[in-house]
Parts: sequence; C-alpha cells; structure tokens
Amino acid sequence: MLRIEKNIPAIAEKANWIAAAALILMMLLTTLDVLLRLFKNSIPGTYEIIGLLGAVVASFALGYTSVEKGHIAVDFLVMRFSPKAQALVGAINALVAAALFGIITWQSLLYALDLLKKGQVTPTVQLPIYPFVFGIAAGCGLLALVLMVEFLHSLRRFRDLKRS
Amino acid sequence: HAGDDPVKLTYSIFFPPAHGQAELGTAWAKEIEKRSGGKIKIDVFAGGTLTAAPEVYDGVVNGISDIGMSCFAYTRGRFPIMEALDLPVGYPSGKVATLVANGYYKAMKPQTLDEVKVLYLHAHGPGLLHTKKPVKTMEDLKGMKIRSTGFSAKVVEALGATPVAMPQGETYEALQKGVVDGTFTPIETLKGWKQAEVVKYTTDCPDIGYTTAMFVVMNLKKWNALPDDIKKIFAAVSEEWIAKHGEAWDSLDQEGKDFALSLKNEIIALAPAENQRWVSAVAPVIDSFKKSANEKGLPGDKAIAEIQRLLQEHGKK
Amino acid sequence: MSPTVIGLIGLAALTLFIFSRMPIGFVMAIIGVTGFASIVNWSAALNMLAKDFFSTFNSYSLTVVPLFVLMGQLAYHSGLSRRLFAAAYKFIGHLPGGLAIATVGACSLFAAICGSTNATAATMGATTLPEMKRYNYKPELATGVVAAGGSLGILIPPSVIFILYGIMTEQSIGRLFMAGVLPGILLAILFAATILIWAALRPEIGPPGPRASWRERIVSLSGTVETLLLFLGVMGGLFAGIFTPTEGGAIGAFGTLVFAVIRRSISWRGIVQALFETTRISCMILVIVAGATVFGHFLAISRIPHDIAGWITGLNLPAAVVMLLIVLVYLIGGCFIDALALIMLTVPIFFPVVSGLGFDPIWFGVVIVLVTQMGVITPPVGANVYVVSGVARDVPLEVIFRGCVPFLLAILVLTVLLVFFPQLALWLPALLH
Ligand code: NA
Ligand code: NA
Repeated sequence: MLRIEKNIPAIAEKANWIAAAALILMMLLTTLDVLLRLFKNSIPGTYEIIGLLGAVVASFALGYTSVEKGHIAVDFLVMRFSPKAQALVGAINALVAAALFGIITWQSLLYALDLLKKGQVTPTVQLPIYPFVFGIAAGCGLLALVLMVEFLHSLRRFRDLKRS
Repeated sequence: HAGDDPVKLTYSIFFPPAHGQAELGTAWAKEIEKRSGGKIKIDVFAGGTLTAAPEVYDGVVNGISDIGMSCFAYTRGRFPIMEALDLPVGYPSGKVATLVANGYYKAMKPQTLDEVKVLYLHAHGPGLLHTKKPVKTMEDLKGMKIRSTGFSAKVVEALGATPVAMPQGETYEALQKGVVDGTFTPIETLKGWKQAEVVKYTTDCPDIGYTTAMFVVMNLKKWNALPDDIKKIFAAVSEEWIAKHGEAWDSLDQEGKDFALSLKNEIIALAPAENQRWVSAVAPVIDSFKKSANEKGLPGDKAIAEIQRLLQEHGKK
Repeated sequence: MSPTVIGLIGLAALTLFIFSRMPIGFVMAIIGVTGFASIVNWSAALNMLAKDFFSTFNSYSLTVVPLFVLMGQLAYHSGLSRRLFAAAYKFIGHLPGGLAIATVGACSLFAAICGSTNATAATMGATTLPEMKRYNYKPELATGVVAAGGSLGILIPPSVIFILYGIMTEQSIGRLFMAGVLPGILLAILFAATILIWAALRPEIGPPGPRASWRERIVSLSGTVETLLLFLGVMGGLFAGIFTPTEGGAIGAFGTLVFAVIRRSISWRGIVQALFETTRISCMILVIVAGATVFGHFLAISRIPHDIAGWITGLNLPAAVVMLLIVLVYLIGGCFIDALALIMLTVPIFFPVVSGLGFDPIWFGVVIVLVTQMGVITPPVGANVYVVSGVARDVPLEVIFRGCVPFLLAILVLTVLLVFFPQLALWLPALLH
C-alpha cells in the first residue's frame, strides 16, 4: 500500500474542517446581519458572501463526503453480483468518476483564471469571485484523488479475488 | 446539401418566458427566421433554462448558447465602462434609457465586448422607490430597509436608508412580512413580480432613476460564419427592435403603474425642492464611479459626459 | 442524430446507469455533459459543466440546505429532539405508528418555516429518524414518512415553487400561498391516516407503546420547553418580519447551539459531529442538484420537454384528457429532472392551453405542486429519498422507495380530490380577497 493512499483520506478530512469553518461563518454572519437590522443597520453584501461561503462548504466537503461513502448511489442491483464482479464495477466507477472530477478541476481552473483576468466581482461589495472557483477546483481535484485511491483499492481487491 | 439546411441557433434569455421582454426577444428571433426565408432557425430558451442569468454572457463566449440576453450588472467588474449606464443619472423612461444605452455603446466601443458580436442593448425605465409606508422626504426614508443590489444599494445608502440584498424571487415575501420596508426597482416589477400586492406607496423620483443595461450578444465564431445577407438581416431587425424594447419597457411600466393603482396603491410625487435634495444626495455615487474609473485608467469623465449628453439629446425634460 | 433522439438515449442511459452503484449526482453529470456535447460540442459542454457546479454551489437560495441541516443536527446531538419525541411518545405512542404521526405534525410545523422540500426532508430526517429507531419503528415507515413529509414543505407556504409559478403565469403569489394551505393540511391528515391504516395492518412497523398517564405526560413536557421556545422564536421572527425563511435556518441553528451550550447538553465532540454530518449531507445534496442541473441543461437543449408539451397541446383532445396527460407528463418528468427545471420548461407551453380550456390557474398551480412532489419520492431520481438515505445511512434506498409508496398513494388521493373538488384550493383565497 502506497503512503499516498493513506494520506489522501486524511487530507480530505482536514479539508472538511475548512468546510465546517465556512458553515459556522455562514451561520454567524447571517445571525449578525439579522441582529444588526433590528438596529437599522446591516452588513453590506451578506447575501453575496453567504452564497460564496456555501460554495466553500460544498467544495471542501467533496473529498470527505466520498471517503465517508456519503455520495448516494443505488446499489441494490450491483449488491447481487459476485464479490469479484462488484470489485470490478467499483474500479470502473471510481475511474470514470475520477475522470469526471479531473475534468471539472481542469475546467474550473480555466474558469477561475478567466474570471481573474476579466476582473469579475460580486455586485455589491465587489469581492473577487475567482478565489472561490479555485476553491471548487481544489475540492474537485481532491475528490478525483480520493476516487483514484478508491480505484486502486477496488482493482487490488479484484486481482486478489481473481487469484483465489 | 449545405444550402438547404437552415442554420440552427440557440438563444438564451434570462427573463421568465411570460415577461414582456422575453416575448419581445422571441419575436425578434421569429422576425429573423421570417426575413431569412427559413435559412435561419432560432430556438429560444427563456427563464435561464439553458444558462442562468449571471452565466449568459460567458455562455455565449463559450458556445453554450449562440445568442444571449442578460444584464451587465450580473457580472460586475467585467464591463467597467458599461456599468456607468446603471448609475442614477435620472432616466425619464425606458425608451430614453434604451436609446442612451445603444448610443453610449457606439460612442465608447469598450474592448471588453470585442469577444462577442453585440447585436443591440436595451434598458429599463427609471428605478423608483416602492415602500410599505409613505416616503415624501429623505427623513421618511431614514433607517428604512430597502431591497437593492449593486449600484442601487449605493443609492439607497446615499439616501439614508439601509440596503438589504436578496434575490428578486424572495422579495415578495420579505416585503409581505416586513423583513424589508421597501424595494428600489422599476415600477414594472410591481406587476411582473406581484410586489404591488405587498407595498402601498411608490415615490416617483425619476430624477434619480437608475437603469439596468441589458445586452443581446452573439457568439463571434457563429456570427462570422454567417453570410453577409444574413448579417444584414440581423443588423436591420436588431436596429428596429431597439425602439420596440424601449416602448415595451415603457408600456410594462405603465402596466405596473395601473396594476399598483388598481390595488389602491398611492403614487407620491416629490416636491420640487425635495427632488433637488435627492439629486444632490446621490451625486456622490456618480462622482465616486467617475473617480474610481479614472484611477483605474478608464475614461470615467468621458463616460459620464457621454451619458449626460445622450440623456439631453434623447429628451430629458 | 437529431437532438430528440440523443435526448431519448440520454433518458434511457440515465435510467440504466443509475443502477451502476455510481453516485447519482455523478451519473447525471456524466450523461448530461456527454449528451450536451453530442448536440452542441465538447468545448461548450465542458465549460458548462464547471459553470453548473459553481453556480449550484454558490447559490444563495440553496444555502437553506446546510443551515437547516445544521439546525437539525445540533438539535439531535444536544438531545433536544430526543426529549421532544419522548414527550410525543407519552402522548400518542400508544397509537399504532403514533411517532410517525408525530413526525407528520413536526413536518407540517417545519414546513411553515421552510420553503424547500429537500431542506424539510433533511432536517426532519436528522431529528426524527434516530428517535423512531429508538422506539423500534421499522425503517420503511420511518424513512418513508420523512421523505414524503418534505412535500408538505412545498405545499404549506412559504414555497419556492408557488413563487416561481406565480411569476411565470402572472398569478398572485399571495393567492397561491393561500390556495396551498387547505390541501397542505389535508395532505398532513391523509398522511396520518395512511400511517394509522398501515400500522394497523402491520403492527410491527410502528409498534404501539404503553398508554402513559396524564401525570407522566405533563412531566414529559418539561423536557420540551426549549424546543418550544426555539420554535416560537423562529416562527415569531418569521411572522414578525425580522428575518426571511432563508435566514431562518441560520437563526435556528444559532439558537439551537446557544440553548445546547447554556444547558450544557452538547459536548465539543457533539458539535464537531454535527458540523461534519452537516457538511457531508449538504455536499451530497448539492452534488445531486449540480448533476441534475447539468442533466437538465442537456434535456433543455434536446427540446424533449418542449416537444412533448407541444405535442399534447396540439392533439385537440377533451379538456379532462388533456389535464390527465399533463399530470402524467409531470409524473414521469418528475422521475427524471428537478421539479423547478421541469416547471420552467413546460409551464409556458401548458399554461395557455390549461387556462384556455377553462381550468382555474390558481388551482392548476396547486395541482402542479402536488404532482411534482410525487416526483421527489419516485425512482430513479427521487431527490428526497436520496436526502433521507444520506441521513439514515444504514437503510438501503429500495427500502425508502418502498416506504414512500403508501404516501405516494395519499398524494394521489389528494390530487383526485382536488380534481373533483377544486374548492379545496380555491375556497380560502376567495374568502380572503
Ligand atoms: Na413551506
Ligand atoms: Na422521482
């Protein structure tokens, strides 16, 4: 077993702390904004910032959610397959999904670079948007790695079952 | 062979399908189909079903749709020169705002729009103040929570109220429950988004009326691939539609007004002296745009001067 | 190949590959992007893929999901919901399926706060599923009631679908909200009746407990004081216009945390667990929504929803048959795409026909909401079932889908009632305007 295979899930869990922090920030920022409104005041741009924080929550939880088998799948058909076939299906799925998130990572990087170059910002407080798209790239990249590790596991399981 | 198959184009419009502006965009597409003698076929996707409002422009650049209609304001920072159109310079009507927008684009020709073919622009009538309690003076507005985003949030702040941003779709409920005390938007929204049901007053303040400039743009590759006679048809129909959009914005505003009055809402006209106070209060918003544009090396002075000139030319009272 | 054919292949592929054990959001994204590329081109399709993920993750309206889920998780980890259910058990635990009926009640109350069907299912799932398990309720009943209970969230105002429908068809949103109230209450009653019948036929799914004395009942109420305060606070804040429903999720989560910390009923570990469960469940839901958005864009460009709607309206059939066909389109369509996208694509075509045939537009809005809510609990794409499955991780999907069947029948019964007695929807708005 390669060291990286152990490290990646650990990194995914660390990244999830960023998601958790963003979640707390969302809660506190909204609460503070509502409280301030009672005193005829407000935090400008709360609405935009909350949306962007939501993006941080989802992107940085992607890897951890996958490690935790949290992405819902329909398994009652594959469950009836032989263990060997299940391992094969698992390997194919992981590889295809890794390719998907590899592509999203690549496209998000391009998108973020474009937003940076064109200088796109949020409408009210003019916060730059590109860092959050880089965040999605980071989250999807991590998920692609998690899926590659899963691919290696399934492949190994398939080989072992084939031998026995 | 190639000559017989129509060129198929897709058109993404962010307005919901039943909105007058979406209907007009669809009519534009039909007119081009008709005049091209069936050589062009345009499938319209309204309501953001193909690309959501903030992604329409970039979607056209990348070919997700071939043509797109949306607002410059949704992608702030991307069109710094075009943003000047949305300042509260006091647009008297949608017709004037639309003419100013198109004239301004021709005069400024910002490079940022070179990556697409700009077919035409349009812009809504003056953004006005609609509230649950009457607002006759700036003092009445003090501390009120007013739904607004982008530049209009700056205007609301300059008038002494508290800007609160939220999606247009949540505004109805927020007004109903009193989360916000009013909204700063063209009067057509009162009918289009039903908000007249939940506000009681409109303060008619067109001299600080802002607008939202909207574009109809086409993917450059698709445009360049069109034969010259077809390009001419696009140009001719677009030119005709500029006037139609302006008129449509005004008749939508009229419908909004009628709807509000039918619900016994009251329209408050500002006293002349008060009106002048409002204009002075929002002047810093325009100045600060000018200043920050100049600092970035953009022609801020020229932009404002051009808009003022076009406003005069196209019939500001 | 014509876009229509590619679209049909895409639908077939989705139905097939959803069984591949690949996460559902991934499958939808892959088929969506491939289909879009076959109709338009790869560079546009890949660009769209990244945009759809960003705009879904960055959507302000969807932030109700993480915030309400956090509220539910904190309520669970601090024992708030346990004490509430202990009290509910004392009151109606002796009835067959009593706690499931209590869950329907809780869903209805929560629905008055929240406008989203998914957020309702996720929050109610986090708080009620562990409790029903504690009292030996079978997962079939417990998960079915929570998945279906989410549809109360959309029928009882506030409701995102009513707002969208009102704007698209130029109907009064206030009237639509009013029109949803009676059918919403009626649906809650039908759900309760469904549970009673089901549990009477198969007592083991919701075993009745001993009847508690009134003394025990009153005593149990003391454990629910803070829940009631919290609920009154959130409801009060909403009705007093202090915050919006979207903001209500944040306020609710914050309030729950404050109560839990003051009462010292939550440990640091509990808070971390609540946070991690919340990011996991929210991420799962958002990935499904992102995948559905990609797939929805593919279906839009294939023009299948448009073609089917156009075909039905062109048939010149009697009014009742047209209505039946439209309901069928929403039923089947709801099996594949998100309710909001489906409404956006089809209402513009159906609406003029429906009003032309003399159906009441407000009534039609309620019918559409009801029918699309069946879609969120039917396979293969049943958003609420996936949400519940993310919360109740030990329960297989097919068990949840099976658990939804009786509630699906209840929604169907209500739809039929609405067809024969339109007054159920129209009476209240007429009374108030
Ligand atoms: Na609701
Ligand atoms: Na479904």
